[in-house]
Amino acid sequence: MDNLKNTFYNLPFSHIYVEEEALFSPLAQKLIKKTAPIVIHHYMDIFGRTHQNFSIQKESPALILAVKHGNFIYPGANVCQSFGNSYFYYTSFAMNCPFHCEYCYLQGMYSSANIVLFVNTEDYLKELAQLLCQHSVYLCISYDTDLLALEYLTGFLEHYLCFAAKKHKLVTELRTKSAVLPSFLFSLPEELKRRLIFAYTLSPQEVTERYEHKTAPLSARLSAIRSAGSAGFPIRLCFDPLLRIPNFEHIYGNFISQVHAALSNIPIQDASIGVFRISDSYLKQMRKNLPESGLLQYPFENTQHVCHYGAHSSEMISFVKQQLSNWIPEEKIDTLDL
Amino acid sequence: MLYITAALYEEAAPFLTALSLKKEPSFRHFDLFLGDNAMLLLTKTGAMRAAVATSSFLTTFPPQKNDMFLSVGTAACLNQSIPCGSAFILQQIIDAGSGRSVYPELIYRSPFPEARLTTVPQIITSAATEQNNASYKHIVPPMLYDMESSGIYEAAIPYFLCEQLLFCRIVSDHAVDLTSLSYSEIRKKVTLYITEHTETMIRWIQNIEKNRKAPKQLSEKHIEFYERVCAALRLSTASQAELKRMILYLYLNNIDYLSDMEHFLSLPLLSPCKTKKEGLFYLGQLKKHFL
Repeated sequence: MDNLKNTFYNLPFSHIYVEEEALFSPLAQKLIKKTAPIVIHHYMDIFGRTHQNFSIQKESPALILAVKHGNFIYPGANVCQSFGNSYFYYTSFAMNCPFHCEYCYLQGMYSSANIVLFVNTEDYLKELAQLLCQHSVYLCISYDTDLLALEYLTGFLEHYLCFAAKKHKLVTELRTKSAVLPSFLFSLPEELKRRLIFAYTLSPQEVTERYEHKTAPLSARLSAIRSAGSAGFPIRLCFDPLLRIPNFEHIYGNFISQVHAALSNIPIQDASIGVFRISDSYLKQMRKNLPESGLLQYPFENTQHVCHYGAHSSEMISFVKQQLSNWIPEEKIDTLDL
Repeated sequence: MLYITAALYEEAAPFLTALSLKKEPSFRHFDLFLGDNAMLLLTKTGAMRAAVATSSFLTTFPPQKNDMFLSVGTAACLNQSIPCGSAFILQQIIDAGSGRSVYPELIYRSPFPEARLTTVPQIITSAATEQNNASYKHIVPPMLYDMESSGIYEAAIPYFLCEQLLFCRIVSDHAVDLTSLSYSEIRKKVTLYITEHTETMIRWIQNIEKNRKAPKQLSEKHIEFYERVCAALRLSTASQAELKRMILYLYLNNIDYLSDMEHFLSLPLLSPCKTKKEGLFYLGQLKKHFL
């Protein structure tokens, strides 16, 4: 099947669309050395087309290089975990993710699976610097994408960290399902490392294999966590979303034991637990995109336009929290129930 | 089913032969040819006429999720280094009238190189020059000119997903070399150029059709069981949808629920519920048991 995919579809990123405005940016110039670009006026000419097929585009996503206008840094949403940080913000250097998780809200949010990279990173940093003049900032830089997984293409993280090194009031969260750790991370100053939280999303290998397509296997993620933790980066473990699968307690119980065994010597800053929950409008779109997903066809309960597992949600969270508390102190475990 | 459009009979002829398509006289306003697995429409020249014909065609024969659409034809290319007879798949279609661009999806690996195309209202003559003087001109693929593509794209896209539409164009002239030929010589050349690529195009699209899998759906056995349960429990429309979602969930997760559910509902299946309330009770029990 993989062989068929290799010959039937174009390779991922075989096509690069570049806004005229972004064409002479260093990133565009680097990427179009290998692939002739298709020059476009605005990224929405491609990204916002009608009648796109999200799941087929995931087989061969295109890259879209664009210049972002308007706001660059946004206040964190209430449904996202702030871990007690007062000045909680997020930003998106990119739209969409190279991975294909069946439960991912991006399928409901965007009509395209193509990946947009905003090349004007300096504008982001300028706005962030202004914010830092007013107060400290806790910034999540890998929402709506997986920045670490795209680093080999973009170099965004390295560029961002050069800026962050001089901004001591800035704490950054980097959320990922990737197992890659670029070598420059290990030579960062210790003080900067302490302000860069690696937030790894973890799921049982059964879930990763079945629903988190193209992501790193659990063992590789655990190995990356060990490397990052040993190098002095704060580690956040995100058990989110928990999925209601057959033999939930058995599979998640074994999984937590496996994670504990692999990371017993690594200091864990905190952990978060959340069950799968999604807005009803996103779920409708996701079911349309992935009609074969057994996960998405679950008859969810709908409370004020949020679809969830109903009473099962609390049970699932309690179970995982109890398993985790054998190892991580309860005050370090943040739960997001409905 | 493969939906094909071509402006002229000379462009369509190689496909009519290769796919054994026969004229369908009942489609009265436009020339339509039908076969077992393909249909071909002659749109005539011009974006407006092509859009009208395509729209009428697709309204009469609504495509399904697994169908493909091929727009095939000839185009002019001002770049003399590209020989006549070269075939391209389109990555961008510019409507000269509005200046608007559309971008056909490029998901499937194609046997043809890519080109951009401008749809113009008149045949391009030797006096025409490339308007694109942008500083990135050296990195973009060749520009072709035709008179239909933008109209066909706009007419077809409401009926298909982007990746179902394929646009192939074959260079017929450089806006100068056809003027010295008689009309019958031009027609022969057009057919000859298209013939050279017909087999490759058909093989390519058949391969796409073969490998595009239809989404897994409830089989007849499961639908029949669902209908029996709906009737036995006297479910309302909303409750029927709930039950269907549950059955689909169990089916897609390969949970062998049929015999278990049949056993669970043996009483109402034998003697249907007298009230909707009774049916709702059973539905609640099903949820508790199976979810």
